[in-house]
Amino acid sequence: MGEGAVKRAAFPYLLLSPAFLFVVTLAFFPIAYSFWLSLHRIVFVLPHLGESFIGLENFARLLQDTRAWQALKFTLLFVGTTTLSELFLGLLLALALHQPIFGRGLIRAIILIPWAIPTVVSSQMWRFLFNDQYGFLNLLFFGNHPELYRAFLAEPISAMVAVMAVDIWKTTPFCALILLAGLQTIPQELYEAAKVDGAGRWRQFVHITLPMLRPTIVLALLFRTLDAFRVFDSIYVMTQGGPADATLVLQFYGYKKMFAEGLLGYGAAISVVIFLFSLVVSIFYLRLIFLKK
Amino acid sequence: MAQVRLEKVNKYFGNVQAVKDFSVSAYDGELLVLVGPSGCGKSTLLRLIAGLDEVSGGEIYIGHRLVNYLPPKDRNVAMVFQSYALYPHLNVYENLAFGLRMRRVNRDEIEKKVEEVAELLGIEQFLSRRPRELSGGERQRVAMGRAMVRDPDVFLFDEPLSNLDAKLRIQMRKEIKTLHQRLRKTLIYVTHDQIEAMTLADCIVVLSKGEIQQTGTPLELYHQPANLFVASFIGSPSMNFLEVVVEGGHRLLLRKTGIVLPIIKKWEETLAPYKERVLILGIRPEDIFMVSEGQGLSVNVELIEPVGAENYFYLKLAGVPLVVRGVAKMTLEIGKTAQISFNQEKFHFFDSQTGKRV
Amino acid sequence: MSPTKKKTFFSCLIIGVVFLYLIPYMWFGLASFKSQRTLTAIPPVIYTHQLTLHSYHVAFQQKDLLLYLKNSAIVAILATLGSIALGVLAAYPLARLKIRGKNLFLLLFLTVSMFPQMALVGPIWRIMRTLGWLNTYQGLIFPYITLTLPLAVWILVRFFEQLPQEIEEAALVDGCTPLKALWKVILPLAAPGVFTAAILIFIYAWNEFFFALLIMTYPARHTLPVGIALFPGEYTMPWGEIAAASVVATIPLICLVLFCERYIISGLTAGAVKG
Repeated sequence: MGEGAVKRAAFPYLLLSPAFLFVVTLAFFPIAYSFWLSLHRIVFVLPHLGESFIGLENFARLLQDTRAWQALKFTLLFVGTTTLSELFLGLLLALALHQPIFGRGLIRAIILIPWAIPTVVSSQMWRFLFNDQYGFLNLLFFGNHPELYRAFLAEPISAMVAVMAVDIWKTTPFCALILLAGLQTIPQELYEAAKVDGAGRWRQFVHITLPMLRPTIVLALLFRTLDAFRVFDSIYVMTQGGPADATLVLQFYGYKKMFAEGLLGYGAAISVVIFLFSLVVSIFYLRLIFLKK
Repeated sequence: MAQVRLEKVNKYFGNVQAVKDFSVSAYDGELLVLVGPSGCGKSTLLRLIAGLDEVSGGEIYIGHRLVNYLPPKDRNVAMVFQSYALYPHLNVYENLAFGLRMRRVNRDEIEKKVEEVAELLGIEQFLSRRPRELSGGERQRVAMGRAMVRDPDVFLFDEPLSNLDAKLRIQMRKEIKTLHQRLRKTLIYVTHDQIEAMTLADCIVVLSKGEIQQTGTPLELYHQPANLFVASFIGSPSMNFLEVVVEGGHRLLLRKTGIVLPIIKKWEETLAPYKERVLILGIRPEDIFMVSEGQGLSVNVELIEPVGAENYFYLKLAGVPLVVRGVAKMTLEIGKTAQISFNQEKFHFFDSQTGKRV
Repeated sequence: MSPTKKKTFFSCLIIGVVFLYLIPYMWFGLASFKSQRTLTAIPPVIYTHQLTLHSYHVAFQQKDLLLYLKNSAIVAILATLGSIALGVLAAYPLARLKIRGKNLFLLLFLTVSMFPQMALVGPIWRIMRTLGWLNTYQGLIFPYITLTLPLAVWILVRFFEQLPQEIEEAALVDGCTPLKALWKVILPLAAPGVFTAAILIFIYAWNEFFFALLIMTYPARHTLPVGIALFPGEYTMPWGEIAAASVVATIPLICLVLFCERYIISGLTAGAVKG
């Protein structure tokens, strides 16, 4: 082969290489590094202890760690509740937006804003709204009776509900817009044919809309589930995992262990657990997409 | 001196061989047509000549240069794509000027050439418009203009007329022919339409499944088809085919009909080695005649297609279908019988196994 | 349900939704203009004539809001440029040239977007520390580029694939090298896709918190999200200033959303909707 031909054949790979390099060094290598770290005992503030290899001891400790289990439980609750709510409410919203109504574009923009602004800003905003003294919600619920005001974020159950509600508030529009796009690809003729065949609105929904939306729903679920597992920003700002670990989530717990307490190895073990959960979830969903194709 | 020469060119896509041992020369200024059904490899060959794909084996020469390893931009060829491939974000002037800009021709020179070509093709009023504002025929002219402006060694046209309606196609065909006569540059033209091939070409290469079936002038291909494929591909309506057995040394038995024809002197020598063998007899629709009652072979008239000055008569000769071209004045009726006779001088014989001409 | 009933139901739903999403902002936005006294009034006061820019004043003068703004802008813009550049270079061959294992590369990029930040942040922090890049712009920009590459590649591949195959080849025959063909023909036509990807990446980089929190620990290097989350308050939470900072942080984004809403949606749905 001529020299020019070799250059031409290598050209695509050459273009691909910078992106590939970035991804390998700053994504794949760190993941592998996390696994490696999780097998060691590293205390950041005590460097003289060195970095001893301790095998799976971090994981064994993790299994005994009640706070970790607490975090796992709430994380799972969080994931399940928010994802399903966002899907359901998002679908409702998408169906509403699918109708020809005035100002659709503007409405879409308005509900898109929570997604577009930093989560910490939304979280601060809601923290202010939940405030036990000058919060708008207390005003709304209890009017001018400050003695009835509740500290929503200081009570375990209401804190959990509040944190989940904020996530649902923030993300439902995003789901709605994705589902709306999916709705818009369903050809009108299908509905017309069904109408001719005598199907009412409900049956049209169940037999046409839902099946056609299936790939979109699964994809939306995939990304939402993964994002819900990784929740951090809102917990950090609104509750810091409290009160009394009621709203502790896995990533926040890992953060505390790794950066607040300097236990790099232990924190890494937690991150490995989160990674494995994400992996299982991803495989589950991807199989759903690819098997049904 | 050949302007484009391909020697034993092979092209594999994975395990599929798209082009087999292709060897052809196009002389300077020749209009060479590659024709064949879809999938025969003709577009692949054009792309190989242009450098858009690499050959798996063999050599391609443009002028004296071996161009196998040259990228498209260094081969000095210009190509008109089937979809025209005009740059949507540029206006017509910029489309035409693009190639010259790439070669760093100075602005005045570009302006001169672009205006010259635009006038030649009748598109000077579109120069400031975008491709999407033009009709199919206009876009096609711009595509040709883009190729012409560069004054290349070789023009490559990939089915340029396929996307046009019938009338426009005929008109553009004439214009391409006229243009080529004026430019006198080597033009390699790919089409699946055998009429286009016959009317445009100086030389035709008929392809099937990546292999050359025959190379020759239009008349050569028409009168002396080298095999069954070429015989059936060229000519419209297609050649009629009948199975025959050479009996004795002097008779042809038309199989399935029981009809026997004497072998005329012209064919005696050719058919001598094929005694008792089955051959395929080919006869073109215009070489079959209607004769008066009682004189020829009896046929049933199944269908008459009037095409203006002529009719196409679809007949059955003892169950074997035949097409005959006849003058429209002939009074034949569907369902009735008629008499035909063959012009035996115009018989074509093909080996029933290899398909090759005998 | 009859059509009119359905319409009213959905209309009410929409109106309710709009309120649900507008009121929190309005309350918070209004808070940024309230005086400290009005803010801390119990029970809360909805409307007051005494609107003031005091909170903004404090936020900018005393609390380095301008600095946070500058940091966010630099990091977000450079990360966007970097990610787009690398994304275009990667998406072009994947979409239009012959690559062995194309699907593998695409899957690779996709999986990166599924990694939990927690699993990446520790090692990346260590890497940055070794390089001496903690509290530098590049220390944050490089991870951002990596994290947004999947998004960029995903969107750009889709846009590139939709362009007609032959115009590229026409450019090659007309005298372009493959790189020139990319630059002069493909990119101008893929501009909407590039723009869409750029907007989404910018939003991500501007809003990102976790990495910014851990890599930019000096207050002078805080980005807006970090600054707003850690807003120092001695005795009480300085809600007015937090609100003011939030308004400042979100105005660019709100403008972006209002003007480029169509691009954003097309980008978000590029992967989600098959077609």
